[in-house]
Amino acid sequence: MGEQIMVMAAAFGGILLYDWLTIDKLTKREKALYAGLYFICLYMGIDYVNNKDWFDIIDLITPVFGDVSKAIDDYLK
Amino acid sequence: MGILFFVFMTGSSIINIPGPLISKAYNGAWLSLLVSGALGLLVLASILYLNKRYPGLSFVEYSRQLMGSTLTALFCLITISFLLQMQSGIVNDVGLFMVSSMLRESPIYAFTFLIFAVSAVTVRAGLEVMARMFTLTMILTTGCILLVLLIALPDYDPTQLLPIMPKGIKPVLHGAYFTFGFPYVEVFLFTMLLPFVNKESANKLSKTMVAALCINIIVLCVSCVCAIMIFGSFAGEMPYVLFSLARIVEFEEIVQRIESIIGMSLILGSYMKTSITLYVLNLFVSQVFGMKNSRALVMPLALMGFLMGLVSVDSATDWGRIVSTVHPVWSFTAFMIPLLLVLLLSLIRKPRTKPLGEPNIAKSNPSE
Amino acid sequence: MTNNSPGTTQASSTESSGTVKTSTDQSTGQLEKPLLEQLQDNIAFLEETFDKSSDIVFRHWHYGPELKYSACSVYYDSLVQEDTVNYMKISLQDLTTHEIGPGMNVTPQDIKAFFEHDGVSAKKATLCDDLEILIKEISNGRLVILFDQWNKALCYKAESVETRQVNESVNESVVQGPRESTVENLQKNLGLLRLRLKTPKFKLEMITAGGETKTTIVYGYVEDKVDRELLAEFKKRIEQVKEVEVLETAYIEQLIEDSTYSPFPQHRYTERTDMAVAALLDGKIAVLAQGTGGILLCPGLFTEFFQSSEDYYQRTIISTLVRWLRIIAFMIALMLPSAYIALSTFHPELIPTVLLLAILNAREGIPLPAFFEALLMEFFFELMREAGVRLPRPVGSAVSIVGALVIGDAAISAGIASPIMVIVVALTGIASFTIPQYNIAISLRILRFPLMISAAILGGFGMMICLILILLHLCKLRSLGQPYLAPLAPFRLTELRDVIIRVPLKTMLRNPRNLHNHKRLVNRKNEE
Repeated sequence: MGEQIMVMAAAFGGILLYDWLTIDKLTKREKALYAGLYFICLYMGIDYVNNKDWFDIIDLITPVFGDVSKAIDDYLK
Repeated sequence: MGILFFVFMTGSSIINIPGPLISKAYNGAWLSLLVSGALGLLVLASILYLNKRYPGLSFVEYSRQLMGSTLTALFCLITISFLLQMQSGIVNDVGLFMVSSMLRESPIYAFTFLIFAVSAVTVRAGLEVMARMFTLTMILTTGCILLVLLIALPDYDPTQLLPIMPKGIKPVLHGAYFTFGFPYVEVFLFTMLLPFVNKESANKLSKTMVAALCINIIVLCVSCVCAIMIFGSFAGEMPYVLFSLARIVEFEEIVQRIESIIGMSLILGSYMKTSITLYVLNLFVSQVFGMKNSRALVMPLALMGFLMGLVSVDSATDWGRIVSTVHPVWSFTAFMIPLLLVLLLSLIRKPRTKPLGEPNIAKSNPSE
Repeated sequence: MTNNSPGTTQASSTESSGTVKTSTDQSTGQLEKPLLEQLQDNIAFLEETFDKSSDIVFRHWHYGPELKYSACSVYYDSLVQEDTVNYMKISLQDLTTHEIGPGMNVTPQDIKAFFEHDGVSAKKATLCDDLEILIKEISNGRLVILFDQWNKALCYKAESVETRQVNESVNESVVQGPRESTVENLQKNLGLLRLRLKTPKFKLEMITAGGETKTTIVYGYVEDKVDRELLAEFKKRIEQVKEVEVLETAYIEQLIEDSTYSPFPQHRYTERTDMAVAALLDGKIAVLAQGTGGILLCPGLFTEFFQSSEDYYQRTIISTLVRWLRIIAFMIALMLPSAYIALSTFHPELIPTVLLLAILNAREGIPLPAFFEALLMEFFFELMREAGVRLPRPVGSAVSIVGALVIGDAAISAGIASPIMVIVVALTGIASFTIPQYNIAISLRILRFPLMISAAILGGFGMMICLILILLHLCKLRSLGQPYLAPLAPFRLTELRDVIIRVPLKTMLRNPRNLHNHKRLVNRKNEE
């Protein structure tokens, strides 16, 4: 758990540091998008650290495509 | 651009494709490759055609013209979702490979994090730097692989190649379906990159791209064939065929167990592919939201890919199942459907807009 | 009047010889501080400026009928060391018919008329009417003669300080080929270059640095061969030199380089004139400064650091092989310690079994893991290297013996290091000396340590990540706007002929050396 937190902290902090050092100006849109993406990452980070297995993108996609893919796969077997 | 294309297609496929493909298509693996390769060529042809019709525009921009902003945004969301999945998939594959074969004690996040970090830095450096660098690394990677395949020459057994289609045509189709999902449908990504080609080399573009794709097909076929020649149909059971091939190769007692070289080539190839994918993803996201090309979003996107790799994969077998079954359908929806729609619309509109050809293209020039 | 023997035609772009010029403030034409009519006032001002300098000399003369006219010569004794020439006498001698006598018949009017109307004089003289400029001239080593009742002064170039002679280059020696190296005097260096490039297309432009040093800096290029955009970019950058004090061409290098924090040098250095001329013919720009012998060649591309002029004086095949040797040496110097750490710790299966047993055997009693052992030995080697540079010669041999003993035998017998490690470190050091240019060998020293660290953490993978990052940096780097890895990275096959193999001189000399550049220049000419 502690190790995972450290990795997360390194990743998130590292990105902020790097961008702070190298990017000068951001338009409002860019800032908004950046923040949005960052929060999604935070959500996934918390999921990882706590080992919770919350709702993620695979769970989003599988019900949509799951049956079709299984059908095709069985047909071709 | 041709180099980028070749790098992209061959990068990670050369390690990951032969194994599962052979398990599905047995000895007809190379036939499947030819089939899906042909499909890939079709996709390439349509992309080049669209590029000629709308020079200097990327996919998002001309689909906006043809379909309107809302429809474009809808489709692109699916595309973006798959691009994210793709990039985390590539790096995850590398991580799994490293953990299972070469450096067993290290946790997987060490590898994925480093590769994502380096890819992100590369993408930030720009497309030109990427093209320059990948020329060199590609020569290195292909050289190593060819070397290994050559050294294994004494162990080849051509009789294993027959019979070609032991169970009929279905396995071949199955294999083709699988390889179309990964990697040949990803030719689509290059719709975003074609506008960046230099004016001078623009006329040679089609030739270079087609040549790159053909060479890629040949290389994959060759590696599949070599794998079958050494292992027979047993090759399907192993997850990383080329790696195991390198393991048993021996030459004069000095060059032994050179699988680490293949491992390095794999890492390089995957890194290159990740960089290109990340670049395209960044372009997509910035253009869908109205910006031309934003460098700032690269890092969060890479971070997202990294975390997705950690979070989404619940187990190795689950991952395998997802790659074999869900991915082709997902990628088809994400890539092919928008592409086909755009293609149809452009074909339909062509006769109508022929007399009005100039104003339409003139309208497209101001950046969105 | 005496016959004028024309002064030696020197390769100088600043002064003409044998005639007299007036000098005023360049920018506005106005004098900042004009000379006064009275000798005493001028002398008073100069004495005040040069107060507390013990080497300034004010020499008073009297001349003319009954010696009633006075003049004064002012100069720095330390700069004008040649005591045999009396400039006052020379200026007077020009005006009288040759008779035995100290020029008794000269009057100030004669002098004024003669010098103001550009009369021909034996020694170069310039007229000066501005006190500020006068001070500058005296500081430059000229001898100044002030006349009573005249608001102009005569300046003679009289500087003669002892300088080093042209002899063999210390750092860049060859087995066969010219051994001529540059000295500290700018004019002599320019002369050496002009002797080799006898074409008016070889342009030398001058710029003066700022501050207290006011060093003269000259940059040269061959007009047809250099790229115009490159030259414009260079000119833009070298303007910065006007505000700073420049002591050496290295200062200039650091002012105009693209990336200060990169470990890789972006310009080449040489002390040899033949190498400089070869580079000039290639389309490069050479920068020289007064007071130092190093010639800066810009832009410097990565592949050129592996070329030495001796390559062209030896036969084709041997030169090609030596080049390969250098490239391999570069790889060794960069990667050997980290490869050793990665292989022995993480991937022992890659080492052939017999060698592996030997290594394990040797590493048996060593207390430290491979990484720290390597770090320790590398550190010792760097210490020895730095100490070796600053050795006073009598102590030199003693220190090298001690170094060899310490690093070699004693470490092994004491059990701190294994013999393999010593071999690795020694081989790395020797390999880094194979590279002709010193400044890129230094960059390897820096880069070795991150590679070792990454190899120790993640083995081959870590090493590869680090190498990718280095390669990325190299691809991004530019030297004066040109991509650093030029024939390799934007892959131009025709230019590779001088990088990996050394194509026979027959091919190379008949076709332009820099094909891509040449094509561009030709196209541009056709457009005009």
